[in-house]
Amino acid sequence: MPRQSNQSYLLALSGAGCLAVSAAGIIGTYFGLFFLTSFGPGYKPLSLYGAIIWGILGAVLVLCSVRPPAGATRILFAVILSAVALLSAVNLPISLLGYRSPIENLVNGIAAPYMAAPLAPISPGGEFLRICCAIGLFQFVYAGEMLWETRKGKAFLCLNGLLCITLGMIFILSYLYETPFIPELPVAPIAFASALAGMFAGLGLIAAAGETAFPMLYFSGPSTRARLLRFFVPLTILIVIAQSLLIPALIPFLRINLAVELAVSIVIFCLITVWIVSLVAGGVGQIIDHEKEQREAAEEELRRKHEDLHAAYEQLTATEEELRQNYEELEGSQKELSKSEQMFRMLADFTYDWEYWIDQNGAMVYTSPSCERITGYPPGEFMAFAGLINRIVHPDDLSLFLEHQKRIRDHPQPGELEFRIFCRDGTVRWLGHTCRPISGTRGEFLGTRVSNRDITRRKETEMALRESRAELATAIESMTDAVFISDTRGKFIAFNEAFATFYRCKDKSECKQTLTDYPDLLEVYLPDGSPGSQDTWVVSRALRGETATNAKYTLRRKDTGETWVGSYSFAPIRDEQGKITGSVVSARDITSQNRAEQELKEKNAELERFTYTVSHDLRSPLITIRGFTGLLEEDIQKNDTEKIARDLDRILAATQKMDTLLRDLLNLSRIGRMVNPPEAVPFTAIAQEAVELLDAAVTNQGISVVIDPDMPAVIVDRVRVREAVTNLVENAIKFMGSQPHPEIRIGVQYDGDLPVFFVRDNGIGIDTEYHERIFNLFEKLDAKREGSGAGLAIVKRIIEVHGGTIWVESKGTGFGCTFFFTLPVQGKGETGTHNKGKNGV
Amino acid sequence: MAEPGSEHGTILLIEDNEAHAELITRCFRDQKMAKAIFHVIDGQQALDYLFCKGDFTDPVKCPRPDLILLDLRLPRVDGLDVLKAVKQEPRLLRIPVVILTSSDAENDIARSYDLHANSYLVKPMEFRKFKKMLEDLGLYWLGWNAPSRNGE
Repeated sequence: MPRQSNQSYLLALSGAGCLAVSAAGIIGTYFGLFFLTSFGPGYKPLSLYGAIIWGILGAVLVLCSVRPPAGATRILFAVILSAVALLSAVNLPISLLGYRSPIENLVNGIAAPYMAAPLAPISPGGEFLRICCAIGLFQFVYAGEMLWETRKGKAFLCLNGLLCITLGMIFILSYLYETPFIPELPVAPIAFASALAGMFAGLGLIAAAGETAFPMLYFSGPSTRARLLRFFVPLTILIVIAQSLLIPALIPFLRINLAVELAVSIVIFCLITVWIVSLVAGGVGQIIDHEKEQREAAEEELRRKHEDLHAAYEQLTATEEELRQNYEELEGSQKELSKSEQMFRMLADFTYDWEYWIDQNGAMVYTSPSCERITGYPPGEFMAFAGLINRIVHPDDLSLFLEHQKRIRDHPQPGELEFRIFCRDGTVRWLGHTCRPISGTRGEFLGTRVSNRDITRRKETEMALRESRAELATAIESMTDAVFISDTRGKFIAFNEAFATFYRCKDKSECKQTLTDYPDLLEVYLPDGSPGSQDTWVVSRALRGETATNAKYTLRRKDTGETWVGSYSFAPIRDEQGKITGSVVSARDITSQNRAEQELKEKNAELERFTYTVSHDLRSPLITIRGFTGLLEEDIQKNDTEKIARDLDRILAATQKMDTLLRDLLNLSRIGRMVNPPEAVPFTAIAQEAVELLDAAVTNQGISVVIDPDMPAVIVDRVRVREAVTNLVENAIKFMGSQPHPEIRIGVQYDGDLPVFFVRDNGIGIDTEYHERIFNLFEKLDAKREGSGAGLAIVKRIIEVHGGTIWVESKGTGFGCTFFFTLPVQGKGETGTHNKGKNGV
Repeated sequence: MAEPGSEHGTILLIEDNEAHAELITRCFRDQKMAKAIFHVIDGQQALDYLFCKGDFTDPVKCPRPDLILLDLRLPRVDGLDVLKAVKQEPRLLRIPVVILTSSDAENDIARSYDLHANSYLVKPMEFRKFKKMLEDLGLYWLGWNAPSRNGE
């Protein structure tokens, strides 16, 4: 039960009082002082034991005033209090009989050495009081909630207190009036201090009982009765005490009749009482009237308020009705709304791609749950923190993304972007982002609506495709053969640098990219030399499904006339169903290869011819020798000396012929190896040297030889070239024929920049049909002539070994002939090839 | 069979090697199978003779031969060209043409027969064989072989 402040105050007060008494007693015993001895001889001092017990009781009262005891404290107090009660119960009869109890003796024995004054005995009255107090306190502390709460319990405590107070008062009065309490006993069987302490304790018990205990409950509360009681009862007690004190005091002074004094005092005091009462009553009456007025006013107010309330109530009912109708309507539209919302939720929440709406301030209004599938983060995280998007964008793409965002913010319009993000689990994905600005019904900007699609796979495929395309392009570009790929219409979708080189274009950009442009640019010839129509071209063939390798075509550019031979490999490109989607062709320029092959063939043919010729021409003299040897045998038998001589001549001649042949052969074979290193020699010098060697023959036949001066210097094997010129001049001399003015001219003429040397004669000439054959090995135009016929072959060999060409021009028999040849000239580096105009392709 | 020294037996020998020509001529003379041997040294002369052109317009001096002995490798006009010309000329194609050469190349043999040579002979190295061959040659072509009279 909570302590009311008043209650605590009273408990504390009473406790303090007990403690004060106890302290006074102990101190008095210690120092040998007794405060109240002056009161009278019958004064009984407080026993030490009594002082201690009052001290304990006082302490308990004070402690209980602060806080109700609980738990262990309560048990402790209960134990102490019951011990006190029991001891006192034991001591009471002993002291009543005039003996000292053993307990008292014990206490005194312990304390005696310290105390100044002799120790007073325990008084029975004091013990009785102490018992009552202890019991009362025990009930207060420990009696239990049930007992404490009951009215009977509380009443018991209150009455206990009253008893203590009454006893105390009696004992104190008996001290004051020196009337013995019980005859045959000392004035009061109690110490004054104990009586005082008992009164305090009694007050404490009454306070402990509380305001609701009988009879105190009448005094407590705000009710008029309580107030009146609170006023009048003390007043009455005061009057009674005053009267009882005053009258005996006055008797000795006034010497009036007791009865008169009593009556007068009664009247006076009655009058005083009436006056006081009327005052009080008036006051109370005023209070009551005032209160009545107030109450009436309040009632009036109340009635008015009640009317207002009623009116308000009516209104409220009407409003309620309206509200109910509105509510019903609302319910209806809400149902519709919820249906509509469900539909839209279905659409929005189950999207496959990640859709969201960011408002004009950058906060996320809605995000579809698919964000979790795509990014790993649930919608909640995006709603809480819209900046999460920026955080998951890949750092390399972040600047691009921020730029895009800024662009959209500043100029709201639809936009697209592709960028990478880091998913929650750390994997990287590509997103295809499209956003559109949204505006409300009044055209105000409401933010942007975004759709993000996971395009990782597409990106990977794209990148793989690009990589493989790049690989392919690099591979094609790095090839030295021309490679080109066309579609089914003949448009070239890929071709490399080598393609441009092959078709004799300056570079790739110059090349035409469609098949149908090429007939204007090129003539194409098949291997047999016939022109090929576009159908026969490789792209057309490949697009028809043909595959081939090493198909040879001859190509000629219409604009420059340049001709070359290509070897093509081609095949169609098919898709998965086998349908032709294009063609792939590779081409190689085999012109030089072709030429080399042809040269090889020619060389082989030449070699064959050579071998044939050699074996034939060597056989011939052998046959002669054998033949004439045989004839010689016969002729010897016949003894035909003329014939013998002839035979022997023939044999000798034949051997000589063989010797010449072999020597020429050796010479010819040696020409292949240039024994002397090339040196720069003016051709004029060589020509002069050559003519000098033939001086005899020239002079004999009276031939005039003219050598052009200041001919260019040639870088040649001097000895060989001199030999060649010698042969040519020899030939010219041989075939001079008979004419009056035989002339040989050695000179040079210019074909553009190219110097062409010549040896010209005005001899018998050579028929056109022999112009090629004369250079063949052992070919003799005239069987009667001397020589092995190898001369011109040797000359040709020498010229060709130096990288030049030789040919003859003659209008025919009787018109002389000119041998033309080219040689490497100083300052040119290489010998030019004169286009004889014979070889077309 | 014709006897040695009979009417027919004019041989045209087309051979550029003088020594060989003498060999052959002497062999035939010894054999006495041939009535006359005419010798030209190159293809052009051969054609002139056969077509009665150039230096050979006199038919008496240059009678139509009964046998042509042709060497292959000739200056000016090649042996095969002569063969071709003869075999394409109606007046000459019936005259037997015997290729007499030192070449045994399959190529030459094939080409000769392609151009309708009547026979192909390779000059043997050994003289005795050479002599025998020429004898047999004369015996066969001038003796046993029946010529066509009217080719005019």
